[in-house]
Amino acid sequence: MYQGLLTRKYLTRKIMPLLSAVAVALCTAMVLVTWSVMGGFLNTLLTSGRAMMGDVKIEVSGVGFPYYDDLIERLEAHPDLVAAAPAVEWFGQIGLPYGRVAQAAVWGVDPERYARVTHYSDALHWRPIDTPTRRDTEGADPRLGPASEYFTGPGVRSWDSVLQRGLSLTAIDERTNEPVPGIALGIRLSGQSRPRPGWYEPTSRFAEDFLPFGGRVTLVVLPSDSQGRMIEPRARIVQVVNEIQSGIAQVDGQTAITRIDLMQDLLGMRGGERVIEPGGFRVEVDPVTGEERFVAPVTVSEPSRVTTVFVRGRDGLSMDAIVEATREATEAFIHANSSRPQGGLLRYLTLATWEEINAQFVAAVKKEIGLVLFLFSFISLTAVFLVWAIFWSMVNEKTKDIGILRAIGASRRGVAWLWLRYAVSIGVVGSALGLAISYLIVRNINEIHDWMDTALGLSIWDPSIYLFAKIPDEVDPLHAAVVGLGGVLAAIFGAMVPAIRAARMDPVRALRFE
Amino acid sequence: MSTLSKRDDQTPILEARDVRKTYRLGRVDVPVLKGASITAARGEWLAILGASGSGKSTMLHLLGGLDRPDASRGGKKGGEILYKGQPLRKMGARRLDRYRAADVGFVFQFYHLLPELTVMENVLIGAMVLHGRLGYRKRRDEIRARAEGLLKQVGLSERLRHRPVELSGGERQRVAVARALVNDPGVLLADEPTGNLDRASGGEVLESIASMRDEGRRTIVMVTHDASVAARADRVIELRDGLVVQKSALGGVGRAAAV
Ligand SMILES: Nc1ncnc2c1ncn2[C@@H]1O[C@H](COP(=O)(O)OP(=O)(O)OP(=O)(O)O)[C@@H](O)[C@H]1O
Ligand SMILES: [Mg+2]
Repeated sequence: MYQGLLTRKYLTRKIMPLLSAVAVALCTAMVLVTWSVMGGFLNTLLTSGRAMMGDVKIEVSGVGFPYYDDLIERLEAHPDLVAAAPAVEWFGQIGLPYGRVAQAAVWGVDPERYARVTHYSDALHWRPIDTPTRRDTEGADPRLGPASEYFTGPGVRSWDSVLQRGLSLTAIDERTNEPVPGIALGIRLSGQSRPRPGWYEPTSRFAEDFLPFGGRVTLVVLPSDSQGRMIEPRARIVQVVNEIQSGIAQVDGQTAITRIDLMQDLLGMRGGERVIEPGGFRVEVDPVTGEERFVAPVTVSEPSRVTTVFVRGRDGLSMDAIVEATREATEAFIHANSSRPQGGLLRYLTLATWEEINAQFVAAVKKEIGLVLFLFSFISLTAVFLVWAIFWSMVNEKTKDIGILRAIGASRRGVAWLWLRYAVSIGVVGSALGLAISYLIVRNINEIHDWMDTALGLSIWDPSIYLFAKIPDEVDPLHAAVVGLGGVLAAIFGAMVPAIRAARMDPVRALRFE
Repeated sequence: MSTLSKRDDQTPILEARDVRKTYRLGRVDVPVLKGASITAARGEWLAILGASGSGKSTMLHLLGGLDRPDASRGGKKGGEILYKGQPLRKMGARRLDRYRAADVGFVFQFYHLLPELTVMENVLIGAMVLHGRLGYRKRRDEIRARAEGLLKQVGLSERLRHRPVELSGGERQRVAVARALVNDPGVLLADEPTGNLDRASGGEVLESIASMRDEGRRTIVMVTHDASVAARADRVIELRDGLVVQKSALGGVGRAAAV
């Protein structure tokens, strides 16, 4: 009772305790900001990694594997799996205007199926803007004007039709007026218009200079045959139909997506009859009879191949369950097809989640988060010591009060509780302040970073290193609760020894204290 | 029951029996009380007169349960403090806390008010300590009324919201008197209550104390080095060299009659 009264009075009439509350606030803010940004980073990493490849990736890299339509059918029939999409993943070169060349991972996909497995449609940059943000308006985003001002190609009327081009990965050939495969480039692949990290502004309205507006690139790939042997490089000029802004630096900077049929053509993965004995008809002499006869050319029927099938599981299902479902379907598929022509390739099928593919990287990030949190918590011990020091001197200063309280009947326990309660108040005030500060910082971290960038020329967040254009700005309530509780505990910890000392004080000496 | 209360009436409310108190300064033992005995009857106003350093405060602290007499060692007995015939030494820590909160009230030479609290709060805190959160809540109105009554009695009803620094020494000491009595203890222990005051305000404080005798039901043990202050008491004893050397009845009334 009296503890509450005195705590209130001490809190409102003294500067020192407020200082310890500030120390607690700064430490909790520091830990929570770090945890939020780095934890958010890991989360974005895990979710947006899936955004472009679904939950599980089944592949035979290089030669690829046949009968994938059967695999996809089996996968989609599984109750735990929602969709699957074939893809050809290859390494290639993109020939850009003015003789520039970019290395890229080139994915050939079936756009409709691919969009059902991934967030492909959300990742396309050139689209109508329904509700422009302040940044869009300030940057005079071209998407706010009419599409026809930029796009001259046939079939382009509105931003919606531009989006459709991207969604179908199909352009209209200007001479034949026939649909032809188009390509969507990672938004930073062209190297154009990147005034600063995370931003994208077209600097020129001319298609020649600005690829998405009807520009063309040369796609060069180095194919191999079904035995994995290299064949001559193949090249194709393709129209850029849209650009991909996934938020993942690896995708946005080094990936191009085109139609799967184009890639299969270029890489010789399209099935069909193929002559393996060259030279057409030839004459053979029977070794026994000596008769001459014509021999027909030997042809084989080859199935189409893909390197990859992306799988998406039912929402809300655990990753383990999705992987398990995928494994079941895949095993059944292998069992049914392995004795067919080229079925031997199915032995090489591997199955991995995005997290597994990037396991080393993800583990490194997790470890880094743990380490940084540990270090900062350790640094936060300074708050404990600060509270300790301040409480020690407050107990000193209040020695006489302690003597008085004992003289009017307060117990040792009551005196200890006075100081602990006081510490709890300081911890609560400090933690609340710290949580408020960190919430404000984290929610506005991108604005703060932009401001630091423009005002001070400081750019700490480099999207090419950190994968994402945007710094994570979410505070996990659970993290906030843990850190807040930590702040209160730190204050209690710091006050422990001074409180015990106060309780053990000899009341007579305390009263005689000057 | 009646026999018990009769016996209670006859036993002194507070008694120091052959009390020894020795302080250790480094390796040297400094004996302050060397077997002093004091008896305070119910309703009596007793003054302990003594020079500075004679051990008056020490004696008062022992009587108030803030400190203990020496432990008995070898042949030397430390002596006993008895409250209504019960040795304080036998009381547990809880009972002793309660003793200080409810059975005795302290007034100190240097007022010893809590500087952050208002006058009213300084008086109420004694009750808060005694009753705890729930008990205090239950009796809040009653306690506030009593505190206001006491402060009115010492002439400070206009100063309830003031803080100690805004009061004169005499006023502060009168707040201290009110605080000491908020739980209506049977004994008031006053350590040089006028020691820091001029004659006029000292007189006012003594008046306040006198007014708190509650028609002779409250016992007052007052320590002073000033014979004229001691003269206000019913009975004066003198402390010298750690012993009670002289008992006199300067106040005229030897012993207030027990009711
Ligand atoms: N904690 C202590 N350690 C050592 N000596 C002490 C201690 N407390 C008191 N003394 C000594 O005990 C003696 C008696 O002290 P006490 O305060 O009881 O005297 P007093 O009669 O109240 O004096 P005053 O009139 O100045 O208040 C003094 O000599 C003092 O120095
Ligand atoms: Mg003294």
